[in-house]
Amino acid sequence: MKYLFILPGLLLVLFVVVYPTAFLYYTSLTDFRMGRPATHFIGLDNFIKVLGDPFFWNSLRATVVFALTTVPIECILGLLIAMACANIRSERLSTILRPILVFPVMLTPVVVGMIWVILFNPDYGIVNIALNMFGLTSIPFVSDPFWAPIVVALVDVWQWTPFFMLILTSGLYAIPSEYLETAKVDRLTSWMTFRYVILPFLLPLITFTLLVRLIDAFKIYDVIYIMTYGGPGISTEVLSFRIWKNMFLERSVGYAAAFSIYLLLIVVILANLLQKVIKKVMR
Amino acid sequence: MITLRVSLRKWVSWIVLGLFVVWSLFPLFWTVLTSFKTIGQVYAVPPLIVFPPTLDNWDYVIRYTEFPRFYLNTLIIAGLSTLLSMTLGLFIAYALARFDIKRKDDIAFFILSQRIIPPATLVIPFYVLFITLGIMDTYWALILPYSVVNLAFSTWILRSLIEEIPSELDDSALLDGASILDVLREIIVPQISIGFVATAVFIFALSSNEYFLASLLTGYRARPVSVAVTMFLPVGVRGAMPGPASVASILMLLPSMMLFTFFQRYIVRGLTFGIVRR
Repeated sequence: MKYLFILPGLLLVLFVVVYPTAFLYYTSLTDFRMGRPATHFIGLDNFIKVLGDPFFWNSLRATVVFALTTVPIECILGLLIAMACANIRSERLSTILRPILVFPVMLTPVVVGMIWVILFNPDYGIVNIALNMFGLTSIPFVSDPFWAPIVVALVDVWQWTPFFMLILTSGLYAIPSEYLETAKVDRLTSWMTFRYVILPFLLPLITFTLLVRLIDAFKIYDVIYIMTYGGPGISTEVLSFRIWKNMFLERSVGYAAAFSIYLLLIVVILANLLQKVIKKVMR
Repeated sequence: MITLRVSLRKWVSWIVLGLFVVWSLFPLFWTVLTSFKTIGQVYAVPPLIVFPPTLDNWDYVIRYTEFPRFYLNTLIIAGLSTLLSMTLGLFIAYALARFDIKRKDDIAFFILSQRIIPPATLVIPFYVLFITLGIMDTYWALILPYSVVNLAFSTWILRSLIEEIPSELDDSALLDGASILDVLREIIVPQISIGFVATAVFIFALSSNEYFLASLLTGYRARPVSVAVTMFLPVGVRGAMPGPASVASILMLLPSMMLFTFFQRYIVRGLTFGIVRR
């Protein structure tokens, strides 16, 4: 009887996830292409081909560089802002301030991409107009292989720093005040208070949030598609984007499936780390 | 000396916060401005902050494009998937919180792991599966995937919420002859109503913001607004339309922002997965 409760939900998950995932594994072992009538079982050929594919390594590089730049910056900035927020004693102000500071997190990534693409537009974008006013020439941000990844990273930092700020603020408020009082009584400098009192308390929370954001960063697709379409060239072609290209532009489904499994592998490893951290944090 | 250091820190904090607020709000502010500008005013140098506004862009988007229909699509898709995942999630969460089921934690983790899967890995099987089932470009093409991913979230949160309610309440009601459905309806849901609503709001926002699956599993009929908004981007021969694009962006953001303002205190809890207890 009690299993009846879980049954509908599990059925849904089974049908919508387990079956397609099984299908994915099976397809990765074939040479299924859309529009081709026959498919053959080719074993691990796809997986070997992926490892030899320069596009795979490029997209891996792009994704890793992206994730490893944006997430630490968001963490550090978020921490700074959270500390600044905690220094402001007024309760009323922080209830007004908090929603304002945090709202970028609630926005649709697609819309965020659109807003920023307009801001960075070479002809009428406010950023370039400001540059011109200071005597500098316009930079075609989105079409420049150097600037494009930076712009995309910037947008991600804009949107997700408040995520860190929000969580770390709750963490800061959870520090028992006795520790902070003792630090003040012992005449610790701000830096020492931070290093020996605040940081140890926040470390589990920071690790948790870092991993959550890292996993999300590996899956990024929306903003890239809207702002740079993987370009210019392939400088911002992240893993999810490359998979999409393989599947829908080059129509090689089997190959794309193998690609996806590599991505899944990376994310699963990160998620396992996350699970261990959760267990530790939950005491 | 100490007072000087304290007030210096306060000053710095204020400046830092001030900069951050400007940094966060400026893009939105500029988008709102742009939505009221004619194309000439958009290109103006120096950039215009005060100018005679025009409603042309708004008129265009609301009356001459199919944007409103896409908006309705989003409401239906996000609404139904939220309903589905909250209901199923409630049942599963209750079972996990109250019943003694074998391998309970494994099941819990299995459901949670659905959120971790990159959509890129799901889209291929979905595409083929839904074509076979004939539900491509219908609402169900998105409602099913969203419900599953959201189920992870709702189960996780609802479970921890239910666990905070003492089970004695349930037990006494059950002893008095109530069915489990009664217990859910009369006891559990009222007790967790705030968290329940906050989670539902968060899931709704998440579903209406999704782009990847939406762009690939729907065509013209069931397309939600998260994809439709891209019709205003310059692509190929279609030139730049900063005015209408800004209008579309704002229209898309309005529900999220309104919902967020009302429920922000509880959404914080949702984001932190209840890890940090006040």
